[in-house]
Amino acid sequence: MNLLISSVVVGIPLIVLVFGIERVKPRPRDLMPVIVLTALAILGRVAAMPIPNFQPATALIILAGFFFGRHAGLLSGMLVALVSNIFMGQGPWTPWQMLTWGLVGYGAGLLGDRVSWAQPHEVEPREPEKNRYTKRRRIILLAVVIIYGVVASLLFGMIMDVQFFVAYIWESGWPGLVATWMMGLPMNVAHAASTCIFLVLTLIPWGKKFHRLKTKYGIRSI
Amino acid sequence: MAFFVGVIVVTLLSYHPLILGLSFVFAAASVIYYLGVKVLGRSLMWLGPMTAIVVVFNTVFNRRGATELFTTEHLQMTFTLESLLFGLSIALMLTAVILWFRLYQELMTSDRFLYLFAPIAPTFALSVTMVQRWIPLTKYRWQQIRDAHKPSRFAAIRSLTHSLSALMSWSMEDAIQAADSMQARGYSKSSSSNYGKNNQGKGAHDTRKRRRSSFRYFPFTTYDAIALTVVILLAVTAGLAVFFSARELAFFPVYRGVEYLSATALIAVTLLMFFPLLLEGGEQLRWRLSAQKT
Repeated sequence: MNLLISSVVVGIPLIVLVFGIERVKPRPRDLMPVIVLTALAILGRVAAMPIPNFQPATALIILAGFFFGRHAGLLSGMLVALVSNIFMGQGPWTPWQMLTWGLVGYGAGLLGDRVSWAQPHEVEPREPEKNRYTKRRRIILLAVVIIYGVVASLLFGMIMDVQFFVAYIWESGWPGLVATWMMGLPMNVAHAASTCIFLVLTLIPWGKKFHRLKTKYGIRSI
Repeated sequence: MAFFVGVIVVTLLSYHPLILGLSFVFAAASVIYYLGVKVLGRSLMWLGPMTAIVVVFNTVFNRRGATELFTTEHLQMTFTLESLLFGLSIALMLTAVILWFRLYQELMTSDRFLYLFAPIAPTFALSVTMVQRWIPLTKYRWQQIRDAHKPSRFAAIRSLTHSLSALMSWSMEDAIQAADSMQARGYSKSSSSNYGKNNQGKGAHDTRKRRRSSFRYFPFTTYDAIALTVVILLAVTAGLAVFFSARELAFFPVYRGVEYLSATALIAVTLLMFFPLLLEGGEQLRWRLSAQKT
């Protein structure tokens, strides 16, 4: 019963969000980066299955949202949850993961709107002053995104624990919830650490590539 | 689809052990029929630890319940029979639902999924199917990149990031091409009626209306309509009957109310869950008969 209600409660915003994506009417061309990143994230998640919760999925969802717009992040998060669970097992947790990861991507998209990637030196290539400015700017950018990634992964894990709690052991009350969180803590820390590592490794170099792709093929953020 | 939603909802509605048991048995039977015993065994194997966690948590952290099993002195914890039963019921429910999901993902292949959802949510349905295609493709490319790039042990991590980066840009470039060719073949939208006007693209191929060049139909026949109606009716009956008759069931403070379960609920649930196997059985029978005749 509780499982049913919680699925419905999570399902309604999911449906609303899916129609939100539909309303944007992205072209296939705009969708492709999302699909490539999602496929990478799913492969990473499945490949890293032996190490519990150490996976690049969250980092890649954040990248998708950050560079290709909030709806891209949203879509990517939902797809990662939905499709990777085909390999890892669907269950009542799928809608929760879809919603939470989708929102992680959406948040990254909002962040990407605030902090623009466009480099000053790309506008004025010959000014060394601006180049230095760029370097500092990039470090700040990296820091902001990594903080966001760590917080998002921790929250993601905690929300998944809440799902477990609400669905199966809610009768046990607060001690049960706290115990679930405690049990999930190492997992969530591992998740946050992996997100952090993948973001450090990919954000700047991949960001350059994404930026080039966007200008080369005229991909719009969605 | 309606069948799966119905079955899962009915399973979730009640904690009645009989309903849960039925759901589990039929889910297991259907999985064996469609996928074989091995798949069932593998599913149960990884479900084992998880259900164990559910049972243990419920027993340990739930202090409600009148029948005391035993109390630990130093932990000041009371273990009750009710919470143990509750945990077991929920574990059974979990297993049954997951088995139904397993079956669902085997039977709803991607072209069926696309056919069903493309009119409602074209972008989402298309993305789901495309991601499913992109996974093996990416895997294959990864293999190729790794084959071309055998690193020394010290440079392993650096090489890994390089390979990943190469994989990403290769996939991206290729994906854009795929997108263009898909658009040219009219894959982008399911309904061509609103296709032209919603397009702000500047490419020449964007403005023209195109029909899809490859598409598989699943015609909706009278047979399907009857089956769908039966499934919906059964699901609604079963849902209502289970909801009203199993309401009496309570775990706390004392486990009671198991005996309240109307016959209607039981029959409806059994029929609903047996339905696909029944249809399959009928088909098999007819096939055998026609084979004998000739």
